[in-house]
Amino acid sequence: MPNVLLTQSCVRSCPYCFAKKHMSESSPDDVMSWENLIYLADFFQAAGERRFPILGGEPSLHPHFNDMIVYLLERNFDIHVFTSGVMADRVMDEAASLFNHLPFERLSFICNLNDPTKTRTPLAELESIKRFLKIFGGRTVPGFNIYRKDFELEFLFHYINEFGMHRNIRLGLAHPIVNKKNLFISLQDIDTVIDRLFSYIPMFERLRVKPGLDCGFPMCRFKDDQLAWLFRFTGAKYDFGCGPVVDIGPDMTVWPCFPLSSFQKRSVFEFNTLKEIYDFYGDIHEKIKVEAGGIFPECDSCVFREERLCKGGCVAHSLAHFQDEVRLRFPEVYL
Amino acid sequence: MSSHFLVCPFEETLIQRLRGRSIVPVIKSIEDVPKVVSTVDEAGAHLHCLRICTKAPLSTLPFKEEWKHIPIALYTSGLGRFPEFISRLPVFRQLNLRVYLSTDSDENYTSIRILSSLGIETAVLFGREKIDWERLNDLVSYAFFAQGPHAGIAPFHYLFTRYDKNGRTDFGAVYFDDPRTYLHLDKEGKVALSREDLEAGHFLFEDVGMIEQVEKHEKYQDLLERWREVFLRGFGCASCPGWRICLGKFSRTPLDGQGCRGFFTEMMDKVEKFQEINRQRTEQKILWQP
Repeated sequence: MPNVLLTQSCVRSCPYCFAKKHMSESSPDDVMSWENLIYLADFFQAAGERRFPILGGEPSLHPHFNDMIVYLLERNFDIHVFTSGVMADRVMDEAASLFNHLPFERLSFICNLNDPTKTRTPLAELESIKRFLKIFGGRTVPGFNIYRKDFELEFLFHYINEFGMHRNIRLGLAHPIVNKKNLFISLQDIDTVIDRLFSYIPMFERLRVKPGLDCGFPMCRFKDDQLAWLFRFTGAKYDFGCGPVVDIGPDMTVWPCFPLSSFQKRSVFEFNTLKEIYDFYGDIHEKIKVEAGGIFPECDSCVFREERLCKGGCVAHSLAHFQDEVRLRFPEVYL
Repeated sequence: MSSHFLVCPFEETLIQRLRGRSIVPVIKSIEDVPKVVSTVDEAGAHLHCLRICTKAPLSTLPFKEEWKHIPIALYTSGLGRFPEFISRLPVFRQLNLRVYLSTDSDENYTSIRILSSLGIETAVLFGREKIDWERLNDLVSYAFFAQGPHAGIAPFHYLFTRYDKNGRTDFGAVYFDDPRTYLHLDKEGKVALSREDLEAGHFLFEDVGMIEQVEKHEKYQDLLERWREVFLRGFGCASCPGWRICLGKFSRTPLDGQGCRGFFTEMMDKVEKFQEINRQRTEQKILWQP
């Protein structure tokens, strides 16, 4: 399901930001027009999509943020808004009056939260997030990006209880952005990060909070007992995947995902259907995996990867393996 | 009996004189709708359409569900506050309504598209002050080629249904401005051939009772042949490929030549393309129902 960027500016500057490269190359004044939004609504509808994920920057900075959500709801889409939670009071109050009667399935937020003790966060920003969670906590899924080995999750459990947030945490692993510096988890630190994550099992169980893994976690770095707990406790089926997520910018440019935001950028108008976009980037992903099976050398002969139970980690790591070499591979795999 | 529709102001004494006629009363306030309908009914006239011209935005207009059988042409300033508009949308969707929005406001290009995508019929009102031909061209593309289901946008869909590849197509009727279909009355019942003539005080007849003779009237015949003037002048519209659907509507405005040539020429191509696409669609078979 593609994410649609309403804006390309953000109020925060997270050190791991995976959108950093894209934002730095885009005009902050560039916001999604009504014309493009209607085109995308038609485009998604023709593909039989019911969900409409909205992203930024910070999407609520769009001057018609609430109106656009109202419009998409009227078009019968279920809306997921990825937000920092830092919203102008006026926008937040209007959103509360417009949307708080809706069921969670029709409109939900995924709020990306940083640990204030580990990531420098101005006080005003923190207060704004808390205000947001006070109003929308019940329809918000907490998201957390792991970008350092010594991360802590206590603050998230605290937020979940204090604001009645959804009892699922969307956990992302910070990946490198091709051609841009950001903080991310290096390959050798992935084991440490996973072990640390599972050290929170007692808290997950006690507070009935379920971890959800975002893309790019390699299956082989989980121990069997960790996998067993994950499946038993969450009941979810994990695909340990990395495939084209597909993000669409306000100017209708499309790219496979933020870590690959400068990679094979195209325009939505070049494609007739959503399937064509997924096929295009899926094909490139496959070609990259022919060149490098996964992020570790052993991925090439991994039975789980061959059985497609694991996609071999984030393709942004794989791409980095051969971007500086002589260009002898499929031309599509180079920037 | 003349088959013309009569566009007239809402004057009860005038309406009483229009028994058996199809009329288009013009009002300024939506509050008058029930009164107009009952007056027309009592007078024994047929309500072809009710034309409401208001400066209030659509979102503030308290249309009622029970008006769904009344044909309405609403000339309004804009969409208004979006959430309010959406809250009234279920009622708008049930009405026999076309919303006219002027290009004089930049926002209306977007509003027309939003309304259409939400199933409300709209019409582009070519503004007297400015027209952004590029955005209008984009709107034509949306009207004809959008992937999603949407309501018609006049005059584009009107042109599509009546387009004659080998002749002229006049979309004036969309705006009640075609003497073959509409005649205009003032409050005393004087008859004019167009709204322009009405506003200038140029009347064909002093009384609506003489309307049966309209087709024999010299001025009426002259007006129908007025399109030839452009070729006698021999410049401007005379060499424009798009003239066959525009018929020089912008030749006497300050907008003459400023983009209309390209717009209407391209629109003809799009209309033909759209007709081609629709021809290729297999005709829907309607089976008998038990």
